[in-house]
Amino acid sequence: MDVVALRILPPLAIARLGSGSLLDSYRVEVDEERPLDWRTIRPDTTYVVDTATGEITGEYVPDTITFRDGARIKKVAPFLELWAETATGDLVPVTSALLGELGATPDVVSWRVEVGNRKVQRRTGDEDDAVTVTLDWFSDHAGHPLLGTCPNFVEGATIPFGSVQYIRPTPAYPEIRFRFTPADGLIYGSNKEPKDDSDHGELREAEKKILGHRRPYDTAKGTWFGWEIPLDEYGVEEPGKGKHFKNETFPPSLFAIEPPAPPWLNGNRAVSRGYFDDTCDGIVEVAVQLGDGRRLTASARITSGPPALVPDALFVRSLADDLEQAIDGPVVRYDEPEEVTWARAEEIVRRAFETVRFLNIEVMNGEPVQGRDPLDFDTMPAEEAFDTNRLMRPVMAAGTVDTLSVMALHQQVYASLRGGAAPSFARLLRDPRAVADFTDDGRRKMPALMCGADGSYLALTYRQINTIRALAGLEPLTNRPDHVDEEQRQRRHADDADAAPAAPRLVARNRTAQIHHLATGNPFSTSPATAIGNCCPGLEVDFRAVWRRLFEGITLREYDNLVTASDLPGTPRLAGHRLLRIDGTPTMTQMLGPSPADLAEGLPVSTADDPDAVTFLEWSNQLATVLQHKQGRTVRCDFTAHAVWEDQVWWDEDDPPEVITRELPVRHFFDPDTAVIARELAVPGELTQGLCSPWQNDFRECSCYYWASARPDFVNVETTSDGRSRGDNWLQKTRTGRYVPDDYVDDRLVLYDDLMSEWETWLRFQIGGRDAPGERQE
Amino acid sequence: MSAPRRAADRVAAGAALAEAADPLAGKPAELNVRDWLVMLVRTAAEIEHSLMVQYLYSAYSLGPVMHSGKVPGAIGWQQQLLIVAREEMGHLMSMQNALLLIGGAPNFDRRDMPWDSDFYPFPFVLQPLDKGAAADFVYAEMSAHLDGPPEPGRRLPFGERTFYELRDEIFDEVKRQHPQVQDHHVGQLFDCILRLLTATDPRTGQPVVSDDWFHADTYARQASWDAWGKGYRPHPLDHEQPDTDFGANVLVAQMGSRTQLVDGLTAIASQGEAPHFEPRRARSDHDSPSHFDRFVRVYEQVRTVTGLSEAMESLPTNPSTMDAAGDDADPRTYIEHDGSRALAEISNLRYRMLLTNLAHSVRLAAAGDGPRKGARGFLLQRSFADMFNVKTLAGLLFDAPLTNDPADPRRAGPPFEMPYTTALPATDVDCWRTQLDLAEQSADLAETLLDDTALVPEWRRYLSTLVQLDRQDAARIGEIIDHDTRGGR
Repeated sequence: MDVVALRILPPLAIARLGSGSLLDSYRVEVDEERPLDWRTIRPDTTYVVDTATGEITGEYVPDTITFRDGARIKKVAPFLELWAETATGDLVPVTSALLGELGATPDVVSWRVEVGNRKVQRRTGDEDDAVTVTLDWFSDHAGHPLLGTCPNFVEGATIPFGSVQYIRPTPAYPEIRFRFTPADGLIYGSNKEPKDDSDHGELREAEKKILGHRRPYDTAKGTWFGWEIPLDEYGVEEPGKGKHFKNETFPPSLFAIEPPAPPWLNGNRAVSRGYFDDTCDGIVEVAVQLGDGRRLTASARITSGPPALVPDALFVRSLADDLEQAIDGPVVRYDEPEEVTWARAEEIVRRAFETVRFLNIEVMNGEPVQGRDPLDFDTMPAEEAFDTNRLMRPVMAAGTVDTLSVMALHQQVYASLRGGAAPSFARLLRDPRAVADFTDDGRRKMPALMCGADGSYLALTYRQINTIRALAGLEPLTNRPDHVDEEQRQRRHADDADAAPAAPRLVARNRTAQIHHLATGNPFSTSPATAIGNCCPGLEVDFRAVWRRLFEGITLREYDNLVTASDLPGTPRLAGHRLLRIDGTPTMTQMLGPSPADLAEGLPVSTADDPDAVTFLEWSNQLATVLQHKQGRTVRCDFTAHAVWEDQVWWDEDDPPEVITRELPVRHFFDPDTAVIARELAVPGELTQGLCSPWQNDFRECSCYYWASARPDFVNVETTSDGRSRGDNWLQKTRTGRYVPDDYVDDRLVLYDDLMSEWETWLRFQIGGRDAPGERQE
Repeated sequence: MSAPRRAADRVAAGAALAEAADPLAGKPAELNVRDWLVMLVRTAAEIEHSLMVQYLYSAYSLGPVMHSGKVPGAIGWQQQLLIVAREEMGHLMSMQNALLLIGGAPNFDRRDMPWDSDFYPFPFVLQPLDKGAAADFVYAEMSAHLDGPPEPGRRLPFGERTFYELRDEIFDEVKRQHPQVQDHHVGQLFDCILRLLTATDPRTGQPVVSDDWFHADTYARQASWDAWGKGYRPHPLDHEQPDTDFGANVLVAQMGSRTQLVDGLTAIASQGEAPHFEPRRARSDHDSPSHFDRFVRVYEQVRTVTGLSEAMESLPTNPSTMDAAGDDADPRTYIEHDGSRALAEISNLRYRMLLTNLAHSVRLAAAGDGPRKGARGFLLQRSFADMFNVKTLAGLLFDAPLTNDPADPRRAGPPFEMPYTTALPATDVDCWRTQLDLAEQSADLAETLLDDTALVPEWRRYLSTLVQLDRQDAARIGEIIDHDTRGGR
């Protein structure tokens, strides 16, 4: 066989933390006879690995899938498979026999692993706060622990990120495999304890449970313990205080802080407790020396994150959607078979109702809750009111929305798609350029009531939107319509096209299929389809981080157009400047609010601090067209003429600001011919650097409302005699069927220290929308 | 023909009525002014309903040719027809608001089969879109003043300019299809109502329609755009949107006074056809094309396109689940194929469920917030859901065989047959029982079809989902009924 290249599949594998045994493999399926049911969790082939020898000693298909061992959550440890690309473009598994054909043996297969946790480095800006580990090339089959070290740790201290193992091929299991087993989900702290005084007594006690003796961080070396966002005299975060620019994350203060928390209820004061978690992300490389002298290599990305707590439902915009857009572009190909487009549209709508199921729509709509002011609760309309200094208003007409009713309507849309009816709701989808349109018309676009990567209302990817639009007979929507003309013309002549239809099977050129490839033995939750990557910030990955170095010579901030570093020959340093336009397209938008005279009319929502009402747009959608047309080429970039560290700048077409213009090369997003995010875009540890530290904090503070995946809101939902829905807040300790609205301080809810000390029992798995059997009920 | 003829049929000739200076011209002797006003508004509701159904039928009939891609422009025509149908839905809800304001009963009724009223532009007919149908629609939505030549020197807007070029052809087309047609246009009824609302009794100097008859307190309980508009209006900031690209601008007029009633009806009439209706306040959202404008454009394109008539030949006019064998005068097309007819019966049932949900929503809203606050949202979403069902079933039926002869190319279609009644029971619990009956019946019918192992896969995928939805809804409704029958009310 003529092998031309190697691939590791999947190109991005997600491991999931837990201190229990390894989770058996499963798939999820839609029951065609009962299509509105929750996805069926179907047990799948599970390998038994002898970790001492590295061999697979057997396999089984379990009768059922259980996600925990009592109080411990089962770990998800993905396999990575080695595949070979043939001269004909096919992909075949690499086995001992194939290696033999190529004049090689499993012994000449070498692996290298590099992972990191850069969450603290991202906050403090101190490179010595990065926790990293590199395992240099090895070919043995022993388990290799991933012990993360950090210059600012106490001498000899580490954080275990889990382990990796090259699975020894056997006659029964001759394929070349690798496995990443993540850590337990522990929290690590600093060698300095909170003060021994009455103010800190509770914290000291809590830390005994949360940290025990896990205190690797040396406060004599680094600043993370007690690190603080400076405030001005009004209690407002002041990034530039002391002439040192604090490059905060967005949202800010996503880390464990000294009580009271959250910071926004307490004068925005956020003082770090100095915590680390044991998640990581990184790159696995493989090299094979062939008999003909060639040395073939391949790589893949791995990451570890929280458990998938709702295994039978998926979020409406997953990490896979953003990756698909990066691979295939924002527009649906003219020659894509209609049944492929149709199936994708059905899946989007299905995920929409799976998302709605976990959302207490009435509360999230911004209506008074049990007579209480809706501003007391964290919702998108409340966020919007805070951001714009405007009165809070419900998004949908009050009294007309309710979880089960809205879910049923989404299910009806799904039914219609299944009946072959062209979607009539395309115009209801939010335009990614209009995420800050806070007029009533704008706020009611779909998806509603959830937050996107830019902190404004969530939009689907252009590719998702254009999937629906293609079936509705509408022209594609992008932020560069001038780049669509040609494709659109082609679509119109699709009948005449002789191009081969996109192949849905796993072949070398079908990188989307590779993204979705589930290695045998891997639970479905290892797939990017189960991950939240492009939110604010995300759960398993902060996908915003991959765009920072897309343009050669500059580094951008992950969430907006600020240049944080530059190295352009012949150009003054651009750090602090803002990238205002890319290829002529502005990188920002205006927040539009309702006119006081007409709630539907829009006006820029100006404030004294932001007279142009400017807000940024997330990179993934914004750069989709650039990615499709300009990779490997240069693109014109217009920067502010001067450094503007802290304010957004509006591109006024009638009176444009003074700019510095440069043609910058656009890097390739993936390694050549693969679906592996290029190393130049994110080194190990950077794909997760913007996430909460520790991640448990996100489950307490999350304001993104990506409920369907791992952080539900409304569970055990039932109908009531007045036609409304009732149920529990997922984080409410005692299940009563009476929803406890989340004001962050109600002790009927799981609070910060509860979660950090007992997350494995307080995060309760949901099966069929209800607490799974055996979940904690106190 | 399920609905009996009524007072509306016995009014004087519509054209004369519309043109008459006397605001009470045509009022039957047995009706007083208030009653007459109620009757006229109820008739307007029926007409809006009828037109909406006819437009929907023609719009959905384009599905097969759109799919084949053989008739250029079909997608655009369907979009235009659906836009108008959505706007008619807004008109229908606005008419319910008007009825609440003036103390009339909500009306979701309409005449089923060919029926001539002095206010109807032409007999009700479900026909696939072709040149004749498009001519009918232009005719229905045209202003009466276009019956004559253009006023000398007046600058004609696009729709009128094109219309005048094609007027004789359109009239001939309408007359060919409906030899008995009178000079009725929808706007004439609105003329009549508006004249009545603004008239003063010369003897007393008081308005003919008394302010005392208006129930201003119903305003907050009327259907609102917020709840029913579904975002269908041009975004106020889309100033540069080309006129032809305007999407639907659904008007749901709430009314708390005579002034608002006149404004609301004027806006609706203006959106329909008549440029002589100028809204009291000029608003940018009235700049979108009228139904008349849209239909003139559609007609202009349909008349010249090739292949449409042939493509539409296989689609029925007035499809029906009832066999009128032997009655040559019956204009219905019987759906002979058992499976198709069963699907058509489900389609009828969903149409009934839609009307029931609308009526029930209006009733609950009118009753104000009470123990049923949550049910309003439930019914609202169910109403939207059945709009999707009507559409989906139309698509399946236009692709389904009409007869049992496999060689017969003719297809079936959605019959839109009216139920025996659209009236709701007197008590709340019985309304919910009706809802339960309908949901369960639909599920039962669908399950019977699903028993057929040779069922078309697309039908199976849809119906299996529909059954689950109905069972889900039935459980929710059952919960409400159980509570009521336990005395929890």
